[in-house]
Amino acid sequence: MKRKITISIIISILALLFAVALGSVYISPMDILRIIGSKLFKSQLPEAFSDTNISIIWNLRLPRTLVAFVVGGMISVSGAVMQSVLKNPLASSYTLGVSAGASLGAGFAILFGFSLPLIGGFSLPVMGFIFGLGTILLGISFAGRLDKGFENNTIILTGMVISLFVNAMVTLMSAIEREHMQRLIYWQMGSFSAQDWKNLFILLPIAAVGILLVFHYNRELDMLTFGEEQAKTMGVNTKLVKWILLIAAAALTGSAISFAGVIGFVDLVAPHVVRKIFGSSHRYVIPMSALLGGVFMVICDLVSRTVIPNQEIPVGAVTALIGAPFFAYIFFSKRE
Amino acid sequence: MKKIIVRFLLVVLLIACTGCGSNDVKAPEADVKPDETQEADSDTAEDTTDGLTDDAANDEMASGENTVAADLTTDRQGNEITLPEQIERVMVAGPSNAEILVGLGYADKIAAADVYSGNVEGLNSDIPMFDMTAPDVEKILQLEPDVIFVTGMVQATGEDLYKPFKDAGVCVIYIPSSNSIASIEEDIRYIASVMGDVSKSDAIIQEMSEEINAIKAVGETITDKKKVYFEIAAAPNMYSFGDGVFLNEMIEIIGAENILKSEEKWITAADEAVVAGNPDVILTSVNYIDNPVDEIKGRAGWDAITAVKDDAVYYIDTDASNNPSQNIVKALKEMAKAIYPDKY
Amino acid sequence: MLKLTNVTTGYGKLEIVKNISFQVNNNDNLCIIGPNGCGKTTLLKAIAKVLPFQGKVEIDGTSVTSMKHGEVSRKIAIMSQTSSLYFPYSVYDTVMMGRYLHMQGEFFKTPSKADKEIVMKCIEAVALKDVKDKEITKLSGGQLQRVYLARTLAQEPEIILLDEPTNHLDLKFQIELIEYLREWSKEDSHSVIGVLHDINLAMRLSENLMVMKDGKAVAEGKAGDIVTGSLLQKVYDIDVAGYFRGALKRWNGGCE
Repeated sequence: MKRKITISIIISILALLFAVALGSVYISPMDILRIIGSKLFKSQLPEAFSDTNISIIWNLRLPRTLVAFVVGGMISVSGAVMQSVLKNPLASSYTLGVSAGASLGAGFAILFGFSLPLIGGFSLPVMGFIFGLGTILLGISFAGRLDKGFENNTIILTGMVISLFVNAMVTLMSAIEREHMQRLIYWQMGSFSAQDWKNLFILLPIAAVGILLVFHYNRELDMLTFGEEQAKTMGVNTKLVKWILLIAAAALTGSAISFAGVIGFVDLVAPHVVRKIFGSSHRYVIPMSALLGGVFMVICDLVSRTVIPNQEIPVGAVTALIGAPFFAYIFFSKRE
Repeated sequence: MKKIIVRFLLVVLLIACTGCGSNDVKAPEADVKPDETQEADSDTAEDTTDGLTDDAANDEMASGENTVAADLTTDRQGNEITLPEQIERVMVAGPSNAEILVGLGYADKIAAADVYSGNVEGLNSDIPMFDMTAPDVEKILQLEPDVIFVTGMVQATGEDLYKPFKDAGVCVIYIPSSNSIASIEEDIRYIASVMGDVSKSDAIIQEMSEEINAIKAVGETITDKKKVYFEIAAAPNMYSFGDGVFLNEMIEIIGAENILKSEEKWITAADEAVVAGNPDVILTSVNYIDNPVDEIKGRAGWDAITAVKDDAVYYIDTDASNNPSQNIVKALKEMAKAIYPDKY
Repeated sequence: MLKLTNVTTGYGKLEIVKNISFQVNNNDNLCIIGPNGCGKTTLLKAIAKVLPFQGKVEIDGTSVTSMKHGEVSRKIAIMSQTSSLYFPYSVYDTVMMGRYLHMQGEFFKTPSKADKEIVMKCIEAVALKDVKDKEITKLSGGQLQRVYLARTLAQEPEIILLDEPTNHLDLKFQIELIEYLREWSKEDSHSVIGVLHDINLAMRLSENLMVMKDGKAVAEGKAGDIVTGSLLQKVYDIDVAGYFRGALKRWNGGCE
């Protein structure tokens, strides 16, 4: 096990290095290290280093790659939690309405040009987050009311119904305001293009708190997979724990997609791969999902910006194209 | 199982969306057979042949062909059409078509237009407006149009949304988005022919050529070409273009160079490519956000670009630069002034 | 000591268990028998506070409703029937889950040396030491049942509720399980309340029996006193006693 973990960490570091090294423009690895070094140690670079190359590494590739890593980690952990809590291998925050809600929030921000005081440029992500979280809270509390036992099926069903409803509202909005909705559609496809250091510094604490909180409940997560009743008889306060975990997962996904748009498949693929390699025990599944999910996202982002030179394809398409066959392989080969 | 199907459909949808990213509505340009004059459909064909030979000499931009009436057996996409004898009422789908018709003097014949044409000057303000990607067939047929001019944008989904009109006997003419200035001029000529008097296009095309040539003359003298980046959509999915788009041609006429000219047609530009390209001037025709120029200047990492350092980021009129019509000259002039303020 | 007074419970508005009362003293056991659907499992769930109920359930004089959920689980553990599993934990990890309540100490809840020892002891008690690292999805039904038993034992409850745990076991393990629990219940203040299909095993596990039908207790008391042919006929709608007597005769006859 230790060996697997070490290898995973090494692969992650390599992937990050690769992602920063490659791009539309070729910049030699030595130069990259010198640029990063000079920024970290506040030293001067020789004239030969063009401003644009420095900018590309420090302001474009590095923050972008790091944001992709954090976002990938966040949504992978969220997916792992959802699958375990709802005992459904295809469960994700998306089914429960986070992406629908976030789209609605983003839609409002785009449509009305919302600019909330103090946060100005962050209005879009904040709106997305609030609405995303709100939608899932609505779904969960509705389920809790309908079913005193807080059964998984109820949660999934109410979540889907609310998700569909909210999606319908988004579609309606798009139909009425076609011009602005082009932006919304692009946003929904996901992109790491405009990510800068500011975004990273906001996402990092959210990721840390969310993932640690989830990890705190790693034993309960294990026990919940045996079913409500068994978990209860073993002493787990299932209703409370489920609430906390679902909200944490929703918060993780909600914030991630508010900044990066709706990027699917990572939350399905990464946890399953992790379980296959590391087993089902959540004290490994949670951190490794974060790690490998981050790596997967970084690689997809790399592909999205290098497969066609000078152009970018939406990263959501890449995750689907790589993720879908990969997921099919994992899922169906498991059935033996 | 159901969930797997849903996921699979999502994948398909996502893949389809990436396809949508490049709206090449590439259509073969209609054959313009220069020496063929038209049949009885347009009575004025014979008249125009005479008048045209005089204009031919003045008109350098007709690609060396004589400016005769266009072949009216097909539309600009190559579909066969049958023109009605008389054209009194026209429906327009697409602002470029509207601009051309208004420029030719046919504003009064326009009975209905699409919503995007709302900005076109000269259009009657009280005509009904429709969503051209979802035309209200009944209402439009009620207005009894003789001809419907449709731009290529509606064909992005692949379906023929205007088939109901064809079935009802209305003449539907597709004018795909032209990729070159020459092709735009052919569009103008074509529309004029359809409306019955190709000579009406002479004046417009003449004016266009003069303006363009004037700029070209200056452009050809410029040896130290400035590098330009022109985007039509803002971050994070920045839409720009390479070779094979009339805007690219315009940049070259001005005597500058598109940093993305090695690409083909419309692309989603990678931010690195733009920063590495280090343009001297950045142009944007984005008008759906409040301050496109500031948004560009504020992008992380873009402050290393010469254009941002020199504060050479400008907005170019959206309609004039987007619509392939005679009004591109307006955009051309704005672009020229922006790129070389001391030369134009 | 477990005491039930007029316990009624069910799912939603549907009452399955009606007005059950009994008392089980320390080191005593109780077996509940009856046809399917008579409410045996539902009753167990209510006792373990998994289902809400009306009436009183008291452990050593304290009502479970006044106890926090964790406290109840320290006293009572249910050993359930196996259900469909998705996630392949190892035997060891599964049994360790039984120690959950005892590990509440630090933030990351790591098992202490004592926890590890107890887990190993329980695994050995059910003879699964050889497969302790094997994935439970790869075990046979009987082995899985034993894992659950080990987990229940690791929870170190005072009262074990057995929910028809013998379904997948072959005879050897069925007998061994019953014998193991008999011994277990003699220690400390343990008791076992078992819901069993097999009347013979039930009577072996405990002297005290409660016979249920349609949610109500039809008879309770010492097995010797209450079990008669006519009672079984009434409850099971078939001549159980006659059938077994016949089978037993054949067996005895064959063994000569």
